[in-house]
Amino acid sequence: MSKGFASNYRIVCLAAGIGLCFGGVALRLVDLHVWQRGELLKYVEQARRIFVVVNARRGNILDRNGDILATSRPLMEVGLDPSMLRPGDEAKWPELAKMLGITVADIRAAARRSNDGLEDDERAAKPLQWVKLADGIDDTLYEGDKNGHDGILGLKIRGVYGNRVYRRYYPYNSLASHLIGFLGSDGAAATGVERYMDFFLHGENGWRESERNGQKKELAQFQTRDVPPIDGYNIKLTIDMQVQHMIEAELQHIADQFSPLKATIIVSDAQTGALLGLANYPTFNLNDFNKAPIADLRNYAVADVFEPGSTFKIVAISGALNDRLVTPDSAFDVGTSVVDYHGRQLRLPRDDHPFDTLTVAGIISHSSNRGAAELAMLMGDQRFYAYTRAFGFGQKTGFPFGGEVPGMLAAPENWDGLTITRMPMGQSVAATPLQVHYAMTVIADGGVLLRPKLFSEVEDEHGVPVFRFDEVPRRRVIEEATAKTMARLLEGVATAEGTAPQAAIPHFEVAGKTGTSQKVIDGKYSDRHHVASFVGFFPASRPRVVISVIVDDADAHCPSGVAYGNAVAAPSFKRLGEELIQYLDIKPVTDLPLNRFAFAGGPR
Amino acid sequence: MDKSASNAFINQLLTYTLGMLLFTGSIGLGTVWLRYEISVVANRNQSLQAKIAQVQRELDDCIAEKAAAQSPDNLIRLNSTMRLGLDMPRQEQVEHVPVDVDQWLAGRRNPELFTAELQPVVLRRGGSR
Repeated sequence: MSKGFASNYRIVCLAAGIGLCFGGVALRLVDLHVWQRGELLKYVEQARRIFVVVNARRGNILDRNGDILATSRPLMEVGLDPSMLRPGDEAKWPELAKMLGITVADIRAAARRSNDGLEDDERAAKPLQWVKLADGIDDTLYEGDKNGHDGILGLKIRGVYGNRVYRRYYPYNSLASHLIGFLGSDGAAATGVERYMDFFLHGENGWRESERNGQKKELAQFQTRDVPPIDGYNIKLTIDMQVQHMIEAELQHIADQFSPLKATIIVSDAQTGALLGLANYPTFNLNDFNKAPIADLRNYAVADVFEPGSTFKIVAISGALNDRLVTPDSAFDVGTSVVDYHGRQLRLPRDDHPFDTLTVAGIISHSSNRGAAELAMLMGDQRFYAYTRAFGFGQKTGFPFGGEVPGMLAAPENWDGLTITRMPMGQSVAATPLQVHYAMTVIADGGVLLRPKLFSEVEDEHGVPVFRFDEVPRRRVIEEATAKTMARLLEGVATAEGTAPQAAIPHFEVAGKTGTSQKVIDGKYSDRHHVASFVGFFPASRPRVVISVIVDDADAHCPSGVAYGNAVAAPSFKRLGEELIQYLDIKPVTDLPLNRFAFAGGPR
Repeated sequence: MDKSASNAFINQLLTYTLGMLLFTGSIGLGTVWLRYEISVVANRNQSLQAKIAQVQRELDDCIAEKAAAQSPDNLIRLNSTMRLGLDMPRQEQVEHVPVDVDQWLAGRRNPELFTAELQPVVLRRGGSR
């Protein structure tokens, strides 16, 4: 090497120094990339790698016409990060409080909150970053609208921000509340269709793995895996929103007029058993379910039992007719109070209006307790019990939720001496309103006991059906001819000679049965507390709808002091029936003289 | 280039090295550009997805609001506040028509043609007057 600006010794020293520096860097690189690799990679993974859950949208609950009964709505939960607040922003708190519908004291309390109560290690592991101030805030209020109104973000308060969540929303508030059910505050399905069909409704959440930068923003180019969410299916019910509204309006009418303890109305299709509406009083607002008394959440139609009273007489009369023990014209002595039954002298129950002799048709139209008892005795204990079971009493109807109870029906071995005279008139037996309703449906649909049908279809998010529910017949109870005869006999109830002329709808052949059952108070049948009911269908010759109106303890507001089925429930049946005739386009059966006249030219 | 010269190998090496440097440099720059483009496209996709999600959210919100606006309670309230006077027809006001409606309306308009008792049609031979 030629002589330059430095000696060889100096160059060697410089080279050694640079070599040492490079060596140090190399050693550090080896340390970082080889020896500490695992630990550092873990740290980097933790700092950069993110796992994002993409929430699936919960399916809607629809009525039979596709009207939305329950849907999911995007809303904001607004809160603050106490560690990021600036004292200079406190002047904006009153405006924030006004927007959120809370007080400044609430904001101050949230700002003061910290994780002081935690142990040191817990505090380090779980720093308090966000305290909720309010939820259910819509986007417009949060982000401002297009008309230039500033939202919460427009206040520019540092540390105040929101998280977007999907909240369940029930557009019709209390409509069909006992059927639809609701989600708990944690988003878990709690009751009703929401819970029973949760498997179909909730969908499958998606997720993606990605990385984020130092500003905690996702770096889309580093997405490694992306599993899209699968939205939940929609559930279409057999319920009709308009029918349901009619029912609830009628229940409100009953509540205003009689102030009952509770009441239930059920409407179903007579041929398929599909429920068109079911409602209870008192009810509750699904959007504010947590403010309702716990008792109001109860679905009385399936969870409570009552003694059905005279509506139960259809069992004894249908059974006797079906077994051909009697005909509609068979006459019975109902003037005698004591009869011989298998060598025992049994005292028959009292009739409200004493009669000497009644035919089977008369027994049903006048609701004779003695007549029903004599028909049951004609059948015998076992046969009468078999029919009672066949009509669905003493067993669950198969209603899918709501805590259905089977009612109470003792086997003949456990009957006392008087049961055969009392059960035919609807005492010594307890049933749910739904059981009574479907027992009447047996007569309306030609003798077959049906399972309550509430679900119509499961649809995907585009409205394409993926599953259809059919009606489920449980068993044949009586012959079709017997059912037709019974329908004709039940028509007599809603006539001037029957017990419920109030239920009659001219030209529509209303068939039904009243019930007025005494409630058991302190172990005794009370004369001042009754359950009034009217269960029926129309038109009798080709039934379209079955309606049950059951009103519990309306005596205090009845003029007579007793809540009779014909005074309390039958008028509701008629009002509801008249509305259904127009809404469902139910045609009259009998020829109308007016129409014949109109056809011939009409009045001039 | 004089390949027979003594420093020909060095010259060749330098040329190839320079060429290699240019090649790998352009590959590197190309890779950087591609990665940049990928990130731009990915971010654009992400913002599109966010926009679609926002539209879906707004749609959900509209659907919920529409359903609430169509609720029977709301319609009854509007009927009352706007004094529209709309009411469900009562049973007494309804005339049920158990026959063909077209024929029924025609009967009302032309009673002489559509009477309850129909006259048989008599066909006559042409020519015989």
